[in-house]
Amino acid sequence: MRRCILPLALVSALTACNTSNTVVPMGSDPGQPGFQQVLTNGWLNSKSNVTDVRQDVVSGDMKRVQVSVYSDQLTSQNFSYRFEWFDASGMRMQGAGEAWQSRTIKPKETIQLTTVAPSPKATQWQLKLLDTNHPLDQ
Amino acid sequence: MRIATIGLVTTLATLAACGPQATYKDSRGDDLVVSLDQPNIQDFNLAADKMVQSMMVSGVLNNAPRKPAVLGISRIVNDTSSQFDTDQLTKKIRIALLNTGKIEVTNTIGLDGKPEDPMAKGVQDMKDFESGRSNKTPDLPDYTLTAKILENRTSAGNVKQVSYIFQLSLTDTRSGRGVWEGEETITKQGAKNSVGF
Repeated sequence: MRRCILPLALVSALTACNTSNTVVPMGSDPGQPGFQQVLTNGWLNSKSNVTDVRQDVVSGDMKRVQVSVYSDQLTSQNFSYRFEWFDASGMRMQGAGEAWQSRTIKPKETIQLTTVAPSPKATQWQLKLLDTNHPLDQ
Repeated sequence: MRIATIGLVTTLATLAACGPQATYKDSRGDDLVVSLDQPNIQDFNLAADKMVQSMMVSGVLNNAPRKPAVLGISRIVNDTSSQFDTDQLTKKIRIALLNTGKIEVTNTIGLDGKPEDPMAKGVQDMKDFESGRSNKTPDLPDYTLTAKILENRTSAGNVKQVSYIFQLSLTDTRSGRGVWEGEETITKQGAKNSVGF
């Protein structure tokens, strides 16, 4: 019986580790605002570590965001992400631009994730990263 | 110990055989069914998002003759082997464009002279008649949108791959020329349908 409990406990413990990491812009530079990461998943961070955040404006008044993500792994990895937008009052703006997207990142590679605000009223954003290739699944 | 192990295995097998019960899911979540035989709702979501973002990045609407510009929805072609309502794509694009505040969509001028909202067209005509402006030029769209959805299938062994290619074109009705074009390809690969990424 003990032999069964151990693997089950291991499985549940590893599954519970699959939580998301969140990135929010910080600082006063509008073009390269700096960022803060809320890390709850170390494994995910090792293959999707945010290294740079940039912002500009397109189409006159729509905010565009580019986030650079680096993988420290030695094999190709997958992760998923989505940007969430908020208005000036911090209210969530639901709708376009919210679909989860899956990306593959090669070993030691840096890729860029980009998005455009769904509306000129969308002034604040956050990026959520989620693991789609947990070690247990490989 | 053997009896306990057999009991545990039997219970797990019974539970597995029952399968998961139906539950509500976030339609924009990451744990939806991924099909190899048809486009999924997340494919339309992603394609619409990418297309609208591409259009915004191009800045093409900054050259519109008025703001917000008026958009007419033209021919939308489903050239895939799946039968689905193309509004699954176009409605999302319309909503996203309306949210930008840069475009309004006409519902009284449609393809082949058929308005999308006949009642709105009737009311508009009636108002024009009553105000003695029945001969005035209707509010014509500044831009028209056409789209085509294509499919590309291939396989290697038991691994199947399907790509859905979403193509959109925006035409300036003043010149009749395409002023923006977008293409988004969504590729799925696997041996069978699955849940989530």
